[in-house]
Amino acid sequence: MAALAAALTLAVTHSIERRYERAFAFRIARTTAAYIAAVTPPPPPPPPPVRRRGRIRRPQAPITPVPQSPASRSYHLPSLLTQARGLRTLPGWTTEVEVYYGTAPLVDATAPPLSPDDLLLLDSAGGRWREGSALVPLKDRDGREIVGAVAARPLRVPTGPLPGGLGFAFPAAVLAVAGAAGIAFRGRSLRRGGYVGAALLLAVASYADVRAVARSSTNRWLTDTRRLLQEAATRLPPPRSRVSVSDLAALVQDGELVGGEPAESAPWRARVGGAPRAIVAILIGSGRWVDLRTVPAEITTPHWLLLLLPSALVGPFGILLLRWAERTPARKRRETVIAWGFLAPAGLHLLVFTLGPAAFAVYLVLPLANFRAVVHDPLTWLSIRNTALYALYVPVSVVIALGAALVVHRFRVGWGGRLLRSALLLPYVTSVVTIALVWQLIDQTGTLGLGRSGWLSSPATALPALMLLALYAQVGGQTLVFLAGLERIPRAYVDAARVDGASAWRRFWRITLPLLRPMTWFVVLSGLLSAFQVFTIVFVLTQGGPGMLVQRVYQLGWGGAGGAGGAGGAGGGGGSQAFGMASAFAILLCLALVLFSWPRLKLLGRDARHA
Amino acid sequence: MRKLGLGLLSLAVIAPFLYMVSVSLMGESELLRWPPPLLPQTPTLSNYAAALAALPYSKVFLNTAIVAGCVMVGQVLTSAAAGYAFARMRFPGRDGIFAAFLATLMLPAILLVIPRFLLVNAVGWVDTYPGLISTELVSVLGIVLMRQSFLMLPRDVEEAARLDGAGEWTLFWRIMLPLARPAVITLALLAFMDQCRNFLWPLIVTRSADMAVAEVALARFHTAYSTNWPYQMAAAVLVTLPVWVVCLIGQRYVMQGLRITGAAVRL
Repeated sequence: MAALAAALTLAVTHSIERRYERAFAFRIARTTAAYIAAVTPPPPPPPPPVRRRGRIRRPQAPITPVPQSPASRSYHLPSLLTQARGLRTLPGWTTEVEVYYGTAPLVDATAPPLSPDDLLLLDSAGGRWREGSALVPLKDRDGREIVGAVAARPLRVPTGPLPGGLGFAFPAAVLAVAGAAGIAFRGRSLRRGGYVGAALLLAVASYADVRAVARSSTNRWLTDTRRLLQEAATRLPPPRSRVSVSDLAALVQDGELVGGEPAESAPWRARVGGAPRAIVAILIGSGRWVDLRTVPAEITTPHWLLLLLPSALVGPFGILLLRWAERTPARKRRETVIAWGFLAPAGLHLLVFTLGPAAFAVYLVLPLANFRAVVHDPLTWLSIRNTALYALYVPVSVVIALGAALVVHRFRVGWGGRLLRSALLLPYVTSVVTIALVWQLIDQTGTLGLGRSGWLSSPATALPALMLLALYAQVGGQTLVFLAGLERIPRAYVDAARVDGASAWRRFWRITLPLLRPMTWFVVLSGLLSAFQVFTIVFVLTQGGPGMLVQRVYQLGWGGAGGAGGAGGAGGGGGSQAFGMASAFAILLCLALVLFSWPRLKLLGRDARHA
Repeated sequence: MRKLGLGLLSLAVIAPFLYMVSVSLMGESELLRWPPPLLPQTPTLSNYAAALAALPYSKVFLNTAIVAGCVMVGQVLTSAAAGYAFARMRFPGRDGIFAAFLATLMLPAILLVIPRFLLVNAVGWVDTYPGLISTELVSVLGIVLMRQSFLMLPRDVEEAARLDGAGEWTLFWRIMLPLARPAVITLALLAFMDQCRNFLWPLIVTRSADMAVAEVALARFHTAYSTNWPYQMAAAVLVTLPVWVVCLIGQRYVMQGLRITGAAVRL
């Protein structure tokens, strides 16, 4: 079990390391391709056609500019060959690279050529992984057509304290397996055997490995690119004139080149304008230094802890599971396994689509500046105010529903009662957009005695009008809930009170209401929760009129600028910045709603226990 | 007399919907008169024909039916299985896990919308049925509902079936689930209504008109024909009528469902 977990962790570490190595190979291959494209001269122009002098002088044809043929945009083959071979002899160059002209290899002429399909695929994909090396297209001088390819094979860089450069993870894995073996043979408890510690050590060690590889991939790109740039500085045409920084900067697409100071040869890390950068100093020409900066690859490594920690902890959990299985009788074990089987679909779904996303939302918010941005945004406070005012309709509607239920309960028999139930159900089951549209129609035509008013569209009255609409949509269902609650109250209670001479008012306050209290709270809290998340009716009706909380999140995330502006503009999707801010807002909303959702959960749990 | 009063009250409650049907039968220019008429002068069905073609109704109906159907089946199966495990089985950590399930109810939909969208986008499910359906397949309220109904079934049935040699699966599928049929129907109807009303998620996760579900299509129809009310009302009737029919047939079960949701509609 422990060996399995260790192997799994090692495999995961290895595959992550490979990812970084591949990314490095692609980068250096692209840079090399750009370098070659820049330093290789075009082929010599074809010799001008010799015009024979005929006896009859034809009228001179109008001179048309000769369109540049694809061949003339390509490269001078002999010098391309020299450049490519020259790459191998660069001192300090750590990559094994191959240049193809068409499909033919130039550096190592005996290597197998590419197939024509490889080039075609490159055209559509822009680079792919082929037989252990990164293959990127080599474009012609104008960057239009693919004339060849550059392949870069990453070489492993040894890391770690042991000789042979096996990294930190391998010795840690040996340690972990040994710890597990100690537990197994000496029958120690899991806690005392030190295996959990060893497993955690394994996770940390493999993380260190991943980080080292990511770091070295950036460093290698920096140093290798430095070699290329120094070469380019001497070779870039025209010779013997000072090369301009912008010419060189064109070679490195995913880095930036700025004027710099003399420095040591090793790359270093610094913060430039608040963002982390990996920097190396380059000497181009006499006394001219530039800094090559790029985003260090290791800033993405913390993601991988999410993968590395669980896979390292598979071992301890597996042993715990085995121990548990040994202790428990077979019948109970079987029942547990079956129960987990029944839970698995729902549990996995919740993990993937609810708990995972919730954790990810928290992650999206980082950096915490998002919270500050949300708190300082005046629109935030406006939407909070609007939504809180809007939610005031809930207690009103619950009181109305309770009153209506008491009245209807007395006359519940007969077709009238049945009809009323169906009628009350109708708004509850109707689609929300339909309700919104119907009320907008009523509002605009001014029928049903409201007068021609346009309440929903004028800013001053839009909020009360929305509340009225929500009241209509909710009150029917709530009445039905209370009706069902009233029917569950045993008649004996009420009859006994009546015999004792209690008035109707007293009966309500002393018997009915206390019995309905949990249900009333549940309805109020559910109503408040849904009121605070109102979205659809506002979206359909007021086109961003009174901004509500959820509206704001939607605008932040999916950029319905200003007004929500019709249902058509649902495309796009904001950048990560927008999502970060939207998530910050949603988390604040979630925390605020705990005020309602927590007691509601308590009520639901109690209901579930007593049913 | 009382019956008549109740009848009048019901009429008042559904008056907006009657008006909706009435306007859907009017000619386009009739609403422009003052005062606006309550009833159409010359009832016409042409709005329906136009809305059927312009929505486009068959596509929207199919999309909504597929999404609601899949979600219905998925929620019933997952909720029944999980509710059964919580109600009828004993295993370590049961109450803790149930509490954890319940706790997910505290996460508001809007918090989950962004990361879920990123997830669905990463898998390439934007603007597809899986994107619409996958996130909705489990309902914690459904699990609570099923658990309650399984708790109320008598132990004798289970023991008798065990004596007859029924395995766990047979017991669940052949005996317990049929006994819990009312809860199953309630849950199915709740899932159906929820999907017919769902707006924010389909709005975000679908883009093309081909994938629009009823609510989104209706909202777009509203933007496209914002002044032509007879058109819009005809479309609204077309979209709403199937849901009404289903819910009025299953009225008894919808009432059961009302209790567990607290009658809250996400407006």
